[in-house]
Amino acid sequence: MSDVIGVWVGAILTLVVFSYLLGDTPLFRLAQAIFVGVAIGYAITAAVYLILIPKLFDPLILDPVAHSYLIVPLVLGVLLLFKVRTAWSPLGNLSVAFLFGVGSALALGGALDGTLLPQLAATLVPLDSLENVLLIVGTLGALLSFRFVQPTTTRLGARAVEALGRGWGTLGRWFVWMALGALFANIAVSRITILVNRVYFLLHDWLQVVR
Amino acid sequence: MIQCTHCGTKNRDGSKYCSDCGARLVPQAGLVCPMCSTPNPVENVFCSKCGARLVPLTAATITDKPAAPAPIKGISLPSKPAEPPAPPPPSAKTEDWLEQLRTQIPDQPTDEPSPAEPPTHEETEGIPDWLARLRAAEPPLDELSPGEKARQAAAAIQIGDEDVPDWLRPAPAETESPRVADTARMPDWVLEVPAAQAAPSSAAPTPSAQEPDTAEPQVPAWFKPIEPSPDLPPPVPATEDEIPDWLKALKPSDEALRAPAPPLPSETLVEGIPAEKPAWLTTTPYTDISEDEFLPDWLRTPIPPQPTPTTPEGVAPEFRGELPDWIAALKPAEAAIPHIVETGPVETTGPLAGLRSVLPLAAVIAEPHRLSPAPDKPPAEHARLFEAIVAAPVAAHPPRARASTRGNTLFRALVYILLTLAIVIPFFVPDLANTSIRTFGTPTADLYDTVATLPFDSLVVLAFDYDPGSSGEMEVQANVLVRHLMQRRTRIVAISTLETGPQIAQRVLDTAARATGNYVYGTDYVNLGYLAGHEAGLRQLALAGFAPTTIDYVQRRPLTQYPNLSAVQSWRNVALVIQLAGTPEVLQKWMEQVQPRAGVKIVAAVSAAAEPRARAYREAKQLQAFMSGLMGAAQYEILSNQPGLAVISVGAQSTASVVLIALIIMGNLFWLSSRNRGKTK
Amino acid sequence: MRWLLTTIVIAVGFITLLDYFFESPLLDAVGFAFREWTIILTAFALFVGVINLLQVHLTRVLRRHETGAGYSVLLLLTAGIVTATGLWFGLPSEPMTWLFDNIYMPLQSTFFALVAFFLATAAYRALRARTLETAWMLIIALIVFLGQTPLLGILNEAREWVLNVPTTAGVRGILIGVALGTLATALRLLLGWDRPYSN
Repeated sequence: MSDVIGVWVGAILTLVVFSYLLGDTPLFRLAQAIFVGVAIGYAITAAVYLILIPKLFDPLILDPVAHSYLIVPLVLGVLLLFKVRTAWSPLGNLSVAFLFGVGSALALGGALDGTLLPQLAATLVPLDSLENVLLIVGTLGALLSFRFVQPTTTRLGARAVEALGRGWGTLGRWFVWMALGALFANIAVSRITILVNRVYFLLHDWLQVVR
Repeated sequence: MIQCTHCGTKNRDGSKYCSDCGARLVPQAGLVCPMCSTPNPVENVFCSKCGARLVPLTAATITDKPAAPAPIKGISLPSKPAEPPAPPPPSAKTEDWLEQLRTQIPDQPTDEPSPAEPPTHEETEGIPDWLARLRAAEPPLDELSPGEKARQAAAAIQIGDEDVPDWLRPAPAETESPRVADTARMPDWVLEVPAAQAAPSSAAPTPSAQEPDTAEPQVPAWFKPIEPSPDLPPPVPATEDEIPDWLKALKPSDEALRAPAPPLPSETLVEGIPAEKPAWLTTTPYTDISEDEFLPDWLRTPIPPQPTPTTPEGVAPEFRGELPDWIAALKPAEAAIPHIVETGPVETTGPLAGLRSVLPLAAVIAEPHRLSPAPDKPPAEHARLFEAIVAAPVAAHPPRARASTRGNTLFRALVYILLTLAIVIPFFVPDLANTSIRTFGTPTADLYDTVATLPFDSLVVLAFDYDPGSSGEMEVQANVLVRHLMQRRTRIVAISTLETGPQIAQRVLDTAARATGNYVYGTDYVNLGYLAGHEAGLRQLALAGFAPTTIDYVQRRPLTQYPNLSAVQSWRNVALVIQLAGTPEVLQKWMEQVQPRAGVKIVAAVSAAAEPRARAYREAKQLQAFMSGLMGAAQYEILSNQPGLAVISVGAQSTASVVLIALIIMGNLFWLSSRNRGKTK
Repeated sequence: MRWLLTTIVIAVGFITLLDYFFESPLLDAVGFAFREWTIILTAFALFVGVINLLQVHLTRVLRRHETGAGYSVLLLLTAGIVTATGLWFGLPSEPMTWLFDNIYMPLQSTFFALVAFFLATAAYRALRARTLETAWMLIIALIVFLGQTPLLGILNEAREWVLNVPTTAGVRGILIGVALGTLATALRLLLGWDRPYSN
């Protein structure tokens, strides 16, 4: 029974959101408000039950001595809460600074170790096939297309190198446009898939006209 | 430190020239200007910067007798007796009238009051008792007319005998005293002053004639002239060149000065006062002063205006003589203002009268702007035209063509209906695209092979990293993958880096377990819930693995209580990590934080939007295999020989894609044709 | 106070970075602690975002005449009910599962699905090949689109080749460029040249 009610609720909400195709209706705004409210409630519950209780409160309550070091994140967390008021906001700067320190270090390490080096290594392929040539030309060209400096040198050799770089960058821009076209197509396909799934839900789970 | 008068730079003591601008430094022992605080040399009478008078025109500055040490009363002046001022050097150029004035000014009495006559007022306040009584006796001012107020104030004055100085007391005519002789010497206009002053104080007791005429007159301390500060050097009398012309103009005539001084009741004040009213006192600008018994003769007779040679024409005479001396003393000397230009408008009014280019004002500010009328039309015609414009009815804007709005709405409705039909109809036409789904050589095939070659009972980590919004596309992939894994009897440990992931994971796992029939939670699969912290959590997972205290999502028990699955604590025991990435960013996080360090094979099932990035990682060998989108799920279903929702949905997706392509092509064709039509026109 | 914040960022950042590239018991322990604390702080950061959002809507409710105040009331009411349900019953629980499956998921999925309709109208009106580059982009998009569908087999292969070679090259260039930008930004933060954390 609850499944039937649930399906009906889901179906009605789906149609309410689809009413946006007719314009910004009050029904759509209602659905928007309900969604944000549910998302907020779920996020708070998840933060409490999935993070704070297992990682902070339970260890502190069960064995405070062994987990006394958890006082530090507790204090930092409480200080972070002061960010909600502008007048008290400076109190939370300590926690924000800590988060920035850890986050930027992880981002730096990850960008270097996880993207930059492997991708550069993957670009260094033998020039034994058209695909490899295109890969190298395209990758370096795409990098060179992100040029925002004007030529400054007047020496002939340096000018030739700069001209080569500019030309290669122009070619690389065409590779970037290809990547953008593919990205657009894939995003459109992804959204169409989600729409297909919603229509199937209405036809199959709600109206049950499709097997 | 010596401060430079030109640039203000502080220089060391003893310096003669400024270290910054090179100007000659004025020693700090000089005079400090009271107006601009600029130090000046001792010999200056006027300030070198602003022209203000440095040497005040006081009686002590012009006396040639060494004055006795006099007490200095008042609020701001020191209380110790002042040094007797040095007698001014005799100067042949000093005016006689000033010289005479100097000689006549008597020595000031000493500070200590005589015991017989206690001080009549508080020294700190400087107000005589009679004045204090006057104030106390004042009636409410708001009820009386000004004349009545003055009369009442005069009647209320109770001047005690001891308050009246000798020179203000009326001299008794019958006594042969030096006062009589003095009175005989005094001119009428001086004698009338005490009589006039005695009239309002008629209620006061007549001062006794037996009042001893002491050598020390009873001049209250507050009446005594203020002695210059002992810190200051003795004032230097002004020379002829230093006296400004406007001051010279006030000089009394020689005859008036040479006349013998009339005697006064007090000897000390008699000498030096001319018998005849001096000419400089007779000239007054007030010609319309009415006869009044209080006014002496010298104030009644108006002084005829005398044009001064330096006063330019048109200068209002009313400002001559109106300013008190202490303000007049501050008027800058012309010689001290080097920037005065000889040309320019002359200031005609105000205290700066006579100076040129003082306040150049633009005339356009003061004068009103006058609109010049059109030469051909009179002003009335303009008014009639304006009235006609205002009275004319406002032309209503033509209504907006509703056809274009209707056309837009129609077009949008058409597109929406077309797209909906393109999705709905294939559901009613089964097997529309089933056989034409290509699987050979696709990335999905590599993924299928990777999973298919997993050893029996392998430990697999399944990361559900998609949100409910992407579940329409990702859930078909998750379902088919989990089903395949369960068919391979792999142990599944589910985790998620999104807070909604554990709920989604549980639903997929439970559905697949029910479909498989023999999969048990806690034995064959476990959901380890939410891995918070984004990059930090993933890095922690990569370096430390799953902590033994990790709590599962369903039964809330630590990992150690699931013995069949607790081996996941070490990455060495994990055969494969399958990430279900709903966005390219979450895929990148795994590639950056986990893949370099965990040393475990990673494959992914990604959303179509993340496919280009997944291909790049696959090319770099960071990702072993991947499948993408609904087509990937459909290919996997076909490869697994279990066609399901993905295969059914591919047809709808394909027709919707075709509609989209057609719209793009049509839009560009119409646009090109309309552009060409525009060019040909 | 600014110097203290900058010192913390630099110290914490460099310890975490060293732990990233080197192995040492002390570094491992400190780095582990830092990451654990960051995980816990994520929950508090989530609270800050939620409280801020609730503040905005509460303000709108208190100013009754503001447009959208009614919807804000509904939002706050829904948030309160779901929060109370979740905190009372816990996670996972049947009420929360029901809420998630029948309200959260359908709503969010449908919001995403709406985009497909707007893509369709935009495909006709906005995707115009005004320049050679946009025409090139549209051609590639059409190949990827059509290759997705099982209509023409040759288009599938063309799609595969386009995605494997030139698109990968372009995406790789973008990835490397973004990684270099991330490096520069992170270095600026770790060296204290940028201080977005102090106001």
